[in-house]
Amino acid sequence: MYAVALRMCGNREDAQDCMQEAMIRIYRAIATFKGQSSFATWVYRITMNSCLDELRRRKARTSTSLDAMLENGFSPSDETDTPERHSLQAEQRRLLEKAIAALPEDMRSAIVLRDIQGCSYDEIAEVLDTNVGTIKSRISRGRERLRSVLSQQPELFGRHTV
Amino acid sequence: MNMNCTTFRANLDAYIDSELDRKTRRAMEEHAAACPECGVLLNQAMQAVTLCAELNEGLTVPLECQAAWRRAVRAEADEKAERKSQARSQRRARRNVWVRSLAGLAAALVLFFAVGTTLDMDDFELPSSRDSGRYDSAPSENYGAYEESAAGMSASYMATPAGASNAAGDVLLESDGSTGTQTTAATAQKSASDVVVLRSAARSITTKEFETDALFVNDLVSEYGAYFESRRVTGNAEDASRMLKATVRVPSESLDNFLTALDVVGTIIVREEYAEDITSDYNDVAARLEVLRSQLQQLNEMNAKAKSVSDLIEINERANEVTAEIEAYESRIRDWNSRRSYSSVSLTLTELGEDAPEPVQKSLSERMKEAFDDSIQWLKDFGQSAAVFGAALLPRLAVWLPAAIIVIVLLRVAFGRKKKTK
Repeated sequence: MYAVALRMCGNREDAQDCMQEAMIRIYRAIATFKGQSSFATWVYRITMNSCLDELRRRKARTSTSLDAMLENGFSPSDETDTPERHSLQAEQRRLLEKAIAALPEDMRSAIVLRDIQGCSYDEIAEVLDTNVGTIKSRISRGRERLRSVLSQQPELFGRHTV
Repeated sequence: MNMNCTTFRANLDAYIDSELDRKTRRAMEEHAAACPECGVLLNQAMQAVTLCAELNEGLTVPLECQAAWRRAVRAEADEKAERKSQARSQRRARRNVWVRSLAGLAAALVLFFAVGTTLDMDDFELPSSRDSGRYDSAPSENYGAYEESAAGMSASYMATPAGASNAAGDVLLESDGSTGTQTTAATAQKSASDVVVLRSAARSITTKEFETDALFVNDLVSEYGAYFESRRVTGNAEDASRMLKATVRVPSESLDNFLTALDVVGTIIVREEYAEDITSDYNDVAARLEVLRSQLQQLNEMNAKAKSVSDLIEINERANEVTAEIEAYESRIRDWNSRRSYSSVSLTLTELGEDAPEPVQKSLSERMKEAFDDSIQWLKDFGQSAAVFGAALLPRLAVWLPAAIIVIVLLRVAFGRKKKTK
């Protein structure tokens, strides 16, 4: 849950708020959970919705462009001061996180659920309340975008690491 | 299989998601190996995906976040519980209002029924202050009426058959057995003398002048045309312990005057007056006498016409029976008439020694004392009545006590809960 919130919101504080909100919603709604879906899916859905709500609220106030986030002190990950901090992988990760956070929400949510959390297409369709076709298209576009962002830093992503 | 770049790109996502069959997959890889652009594309795509998959490695939920959401949920839970209890107490309060009002109403009803159905007004009869049987005032109108009716009576107490003018309604006694009831010129008084009342009185007097007062009493008796039915003196002068006990028969019309005159003698310590209403008995007996006399007359007539000796004997036997009955009734009537015409006064004259405290003559303090004693007596009687009332009440407690208990319980439900609710 936290992971989803973090990836969706882009920073720890907002992720915390989202998670709190999600937890409360879960607590309130737990009585009405009838098992139409799996519990995990249900939790994902609630978490995603609270993140999206929070993002929409934030959108009303500030822009979510990458630059703005960078200005506001964007710190997507739990950064501890270790030697790895400056490793290649760490750099790669940071870039990726920024790229994800820069994605439009619909793509971001699909990518987070698919490539980061590893959910199936059906599951994602249920969580996001759309059909699989839409999901696939979002993922496709999202991946394309990510790839293009990453390819702009060839020193990090140019190699054959597959 | 040959693949062009367009197809390659189209299948790229499927490749990443491992949704391609082996054949297509191989084709993709071959194309990627052959085509530099597509190769880089594939590379980057795979890298990105791999990186994504590994992105959350080592990611843990920060403690403060955990604490925060836990606090949030707990706050939510508390709020929910609070709302629930509020709703509950509201409902309870509303129920309480109902319960209280219903309980109050029920209590009132129970009380009403218990009291109403078991209480008899009779139980509340208390003796009035002069009602203890010592004083019985003769209905004055009756006496007045009687006085009128007695006006025509002769001095002798026995009504003679020789046509003595009697008050209407008075029964005549004829020795030959002719019918009795005669109406005279005094018919107008018939309604007045329909009531037959026998009056009597008693006086208890103390005196220090025994002899003087005794003689005075004798004078009084003669003066009012009364006579001593009995008279008795006991005690001796030395001890100053003399007592005169007498029964005086006073003509009824003069009774009040006689008693008033007696008031001056010594100190009256007891006054009693009685009026016995024997109207129904008197009229009863009178009626019977009528019947019997007519029977006798019939028998006499039958006697005159009797044919056989056996008839004669029978008739005479019957006539004797009837005569005996008549005589019995007549004797009662005579007695009543005598008491009617002469009232009995029971008199006790007690001598007080020199050192006896002078009884105060009907002064204010005497009257106050009398009144006080009366009240004491009244109190005693009241106490007795209360005891009687209590005894009567006891069985009713069988109903009252459960009712009271129910009432108390209901009232406690109604008002006791008030202290307990927050």
